[in-house]
Amino acid sequence: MKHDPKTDPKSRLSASDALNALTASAMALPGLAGIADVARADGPVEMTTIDQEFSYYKEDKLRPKKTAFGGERERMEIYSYQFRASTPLTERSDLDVAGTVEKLSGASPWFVLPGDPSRDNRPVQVMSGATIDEQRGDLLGAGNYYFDQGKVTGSAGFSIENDYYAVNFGAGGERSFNEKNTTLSLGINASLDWLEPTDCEEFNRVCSENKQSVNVYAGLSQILTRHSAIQSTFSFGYATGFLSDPYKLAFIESNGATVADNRPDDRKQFTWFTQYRHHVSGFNGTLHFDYKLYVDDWSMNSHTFDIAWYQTLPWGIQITPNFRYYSQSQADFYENFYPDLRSDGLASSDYRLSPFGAITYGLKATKTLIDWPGEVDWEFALSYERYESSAGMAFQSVDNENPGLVSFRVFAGRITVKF
Amino acid sequence: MLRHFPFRAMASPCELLLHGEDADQVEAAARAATAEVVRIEHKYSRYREDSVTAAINAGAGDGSGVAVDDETAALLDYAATAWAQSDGLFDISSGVLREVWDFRSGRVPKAHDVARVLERVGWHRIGWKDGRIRLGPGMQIDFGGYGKEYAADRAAACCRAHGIDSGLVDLGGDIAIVGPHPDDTPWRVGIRDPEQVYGAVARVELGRGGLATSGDYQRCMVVDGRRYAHILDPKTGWPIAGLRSVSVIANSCLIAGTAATIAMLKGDDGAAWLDALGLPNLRIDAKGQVSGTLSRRYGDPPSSRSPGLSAISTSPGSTTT
Repeated sequence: MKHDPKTDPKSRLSASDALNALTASAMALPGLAGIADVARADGPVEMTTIDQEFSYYKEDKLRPKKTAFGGERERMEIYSYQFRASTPLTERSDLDVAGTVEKLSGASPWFVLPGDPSRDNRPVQVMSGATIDEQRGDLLGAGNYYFDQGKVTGSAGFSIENDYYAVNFGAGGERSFNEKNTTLSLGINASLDWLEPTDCEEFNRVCSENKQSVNVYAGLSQILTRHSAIQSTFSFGYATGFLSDPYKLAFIESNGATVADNRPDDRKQFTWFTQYRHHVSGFNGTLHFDYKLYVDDWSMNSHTFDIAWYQTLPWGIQITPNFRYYSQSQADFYENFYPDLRSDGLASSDYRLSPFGAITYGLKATKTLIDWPGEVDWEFALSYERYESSAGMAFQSVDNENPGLVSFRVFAGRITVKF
Repeated sequence: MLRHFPFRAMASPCELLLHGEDADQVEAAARAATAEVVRIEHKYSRYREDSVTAAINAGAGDGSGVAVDDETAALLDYAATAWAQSDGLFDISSGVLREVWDFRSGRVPKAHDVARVLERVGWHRIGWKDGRIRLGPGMQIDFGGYGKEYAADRAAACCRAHGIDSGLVDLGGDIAIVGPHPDDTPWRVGIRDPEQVYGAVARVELGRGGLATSGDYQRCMVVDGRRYAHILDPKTGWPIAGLRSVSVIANSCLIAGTAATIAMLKGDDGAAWLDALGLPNLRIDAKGQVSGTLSRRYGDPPSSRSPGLSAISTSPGSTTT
């Protein structure tokens, strides 16, 4: 029988690979860099895209010797469903809508106690007594309007939990220069949050608090050579209001009592994020290298190095291994526990403010089906990621590791439909 | 205001159609775009002794190869990609087959003569590494298969760089859009059969990207009742029967032209390959039948046409060239 490439999905895919390969190669020609990103850089999306992702996040149980009560308690697990849809609106505009619904359960770190001198004297974690079991949802809408040399974006969204409400707004713009080899982006985001912690009277927590934050950013992306591009973004954030965690306590050794987690009521944050992309045509793959520097006025700083290899294989398959290294210093007022209450009253033993390092490794596989069946494109992705953190992995040496440091794994599956 | 700038380059009638209120700016853009087309023609013409193509071909047989500049390197990378993606059909070294195929002579070459020339054809016989290209003895390359389409894209980019965001570049029927009309309506481009003066085979709307046509423009050679098309298969050295003409729309004129050329080279499988590629297209087969997504969507009712298409751009509402 004659092989008919028209009805053979495999052949359809190899033809779409051909178009991708030609586009990538044509983009390398001087002045033609914009062509592959026509939909993004020059105008609104041309197809409606619906993304749906299911993920399962599971934190490891703490080892018994790290917990105060032998701890077999399950830590957090989160089932999450996310969707995102983007669709052309007019010749010059498009609309994005994204939402999340999550189901969270499990125990979380509460406070840290000094260790037993008769054993290893290491501090131990007390986990929250009640395992929470709650839902969270958020919805975000964004509209983009495109000019010939750029675009403007406006967005608004909200987030709801049984004890937390937030609304956020954003505005941004992009302008390209130099035959679209250079793109400047600027933007601002603001968020208003309200907290109404559960069982506030029973646990002597705050009952109603709020915080406000604003973030401004400026970024520059530059196509460097025929095969490489770099993007660098600076952002500055300011948050004010109740920035503590109402569900955490800190232990004061001198009186053997706990106090509520208490952090400064404002925070200035600075981030420098740089992404480098290098296409290696001989291997039909692309190297992604990202670095992020974070500094804030709580004396915290962190470095993130992320490396990923996007390997394109025949039959519309792409395999992406990635590796990330992270290291942070502690907030200046953080302690596992306090010999005495600090004169400024600040106290937190949250592991997220402690000094530590972490590695993440993962693998993602995607499979694309173009125009099959009908005029619909499909993409399926499966991914696995493992995160492990410890004080020993930090850049600097750490004397007292927080016993509540987390390790987790994430399994995710995504289905994308374009039509 | 819409201004026309006709000129001649790459052995074809060419035209720029540019919108703009500032006459000086529009003229500066037109001058730059025209100069860019002429620059590319001079740089890559195989007929010019001072061209890059001539320098590369002059180095054939020299083991150390010829070093090339960045633009040429990117064009060679593109040729390598197109060669790989077409299973060896898109081959910039196939020009030497003309030594044995003289279509004006009406003579079919002897099989062993074709086989002998074929030893000097094939991108896989060319060393292309670290910015140096090494051709075997007697080999030649030329950029004729995609140079005009590349020049159209470059000319459109030139116009945009001069602040013109509404216009069209037409290099002998290969079209690159600078940008849609000032009121954002797309250009209406007729894919026209030059021998049929009335009406277009199809009329398409283009707001961006490009349109290119590949075809067996001249009448085929008929020897002893057998038809020999002008399209030569670089793997066999013999003509390919199949489509007479293919027009494709893509994000750039270059990609449109490459897809059209590969479809022609695929012969009878070309139509299916184009459909699988997913790019809007129009083709005319050996019997003159018109098919492809563009014929269904925008075309006048298909009828028997003779081969050879040229694209004519018109402003909206206008039906004249």
